[in-house]
Amino acid sequence: MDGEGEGASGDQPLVLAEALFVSYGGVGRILRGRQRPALRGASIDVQAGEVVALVGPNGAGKTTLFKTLLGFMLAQSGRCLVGGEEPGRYRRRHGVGYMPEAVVLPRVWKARDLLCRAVDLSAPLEEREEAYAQAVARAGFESDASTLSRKATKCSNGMQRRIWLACALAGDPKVVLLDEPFAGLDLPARRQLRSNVRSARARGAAVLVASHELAEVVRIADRVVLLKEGVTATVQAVDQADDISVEAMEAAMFQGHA
Amino acid sequence: MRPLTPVEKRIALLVASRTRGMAWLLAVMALFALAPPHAPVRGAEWIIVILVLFFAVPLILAPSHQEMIGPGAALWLQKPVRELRFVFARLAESMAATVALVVLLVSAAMAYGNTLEWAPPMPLDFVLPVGALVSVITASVAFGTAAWLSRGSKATVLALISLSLYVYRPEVADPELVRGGLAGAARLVLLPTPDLLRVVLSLTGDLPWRIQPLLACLAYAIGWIVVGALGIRWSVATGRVARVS
Repeated sequence: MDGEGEGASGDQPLVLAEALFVSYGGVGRILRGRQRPALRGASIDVQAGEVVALVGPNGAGKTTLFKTLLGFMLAQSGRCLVGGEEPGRYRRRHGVGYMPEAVVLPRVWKARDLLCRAVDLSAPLEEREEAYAQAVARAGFESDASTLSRKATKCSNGMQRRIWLACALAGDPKVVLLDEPFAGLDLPARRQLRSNVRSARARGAAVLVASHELAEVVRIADRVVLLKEGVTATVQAVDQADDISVEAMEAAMFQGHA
Repeated sequence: MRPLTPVEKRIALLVASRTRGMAWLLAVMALFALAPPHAPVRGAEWIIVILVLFFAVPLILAPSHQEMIGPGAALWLQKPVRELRFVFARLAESMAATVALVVLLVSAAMAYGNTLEWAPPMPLDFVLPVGALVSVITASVAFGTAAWLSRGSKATVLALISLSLYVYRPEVADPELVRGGLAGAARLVLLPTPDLLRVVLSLTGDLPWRIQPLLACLAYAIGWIVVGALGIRWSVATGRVARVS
């Protein structure tokens, strides 16, 4: 991958969403004026080398925001740019590391083959061997060859999520979107995930993490954003050098938004 | 009612887990009751069509549903790839595997049939091209329907095959209808059974060899692949892929 156009120009954030309005509904709903808005003016920005956590109640529009940033959904109004480009175009040119909330791996594929294919699709030929070893390490399977030769869908839920995450991070994408990444992960896998996120930040990626687990996200995030009913409600900076109290963060974030 | 014994429970579970497979088998049997294959190559047709229905259709539908528009699509489409380039590459892989499997199985079945003398002896230079052609056509139809329908594509493919075989049966086909506009429109959708049969009969030496029927079959397959590609493009452009994911 070349770096052309991959970074946002000047001080422009790598991920930018401004006053996004996105709604669900087919032709019938649109004609009847019964569209179901999921985002009603949400705004967010993530700079290169920054981790932003997105929190909020169920149905707040976190997943919809991710799908819009991936270019899988189109915004009816507002501005959405990834690396200074329209999201779908950026994704096709440079790739995005995306992990959905519900991980459904394709059947038939072995874990090893999935990782290989993800590496093949995202890394240049001369870097693939190293990228594959890195993907195995990111999944936490270095000393677990038996899991790699198993069918991916026969692995446990947590392992499937680790496989998907390693596939998503293959090729070191500059934009990483993780939707509920901590769900179903055991303690070592959570530690591995935090390490993966910090590595992504260290290499200059913009990381957006949606999660209900405030205690986990305050350990990795530079900012925490509350999304409520499709609107960005609160933005709270996190100083990783400080000893952060989850209760204090919760109070700051949800004050007046209970 | 007395409770089931452990063995009965296991049998009941086994039967329940095979319901869809059994329904598919019954549907295929019904298809042959509705439209028995043409007489000159009966045994070969049976074997090829049954194997294609059992292997080619599911083998193409699975990646189409799971990896192109289904929940697994986001795994690949997040990578720096153009949707259609990726889809065509994945389709080519699946189709190559499908054709190879069907040809292998048809050859094995023919060899076994020959030893039992229940199938007419069929040389490999007949089995290989016919098996490959039927697989490619059926796989294209399966891909074209799967790209648009998230449910019921298997039944649609079966219905299309049944209808194609039924409409073109000599005793059913109305010459006026075949020459008329309806057949012209239907020919775009239904499988090119007459052209396929001409290719088969050319290979058996019953008809002189002509390239047009083969080209018609390939054009039909390409048409369905284009329909599928448009479906994938539409799914990504309208966000349908995200809703399925």
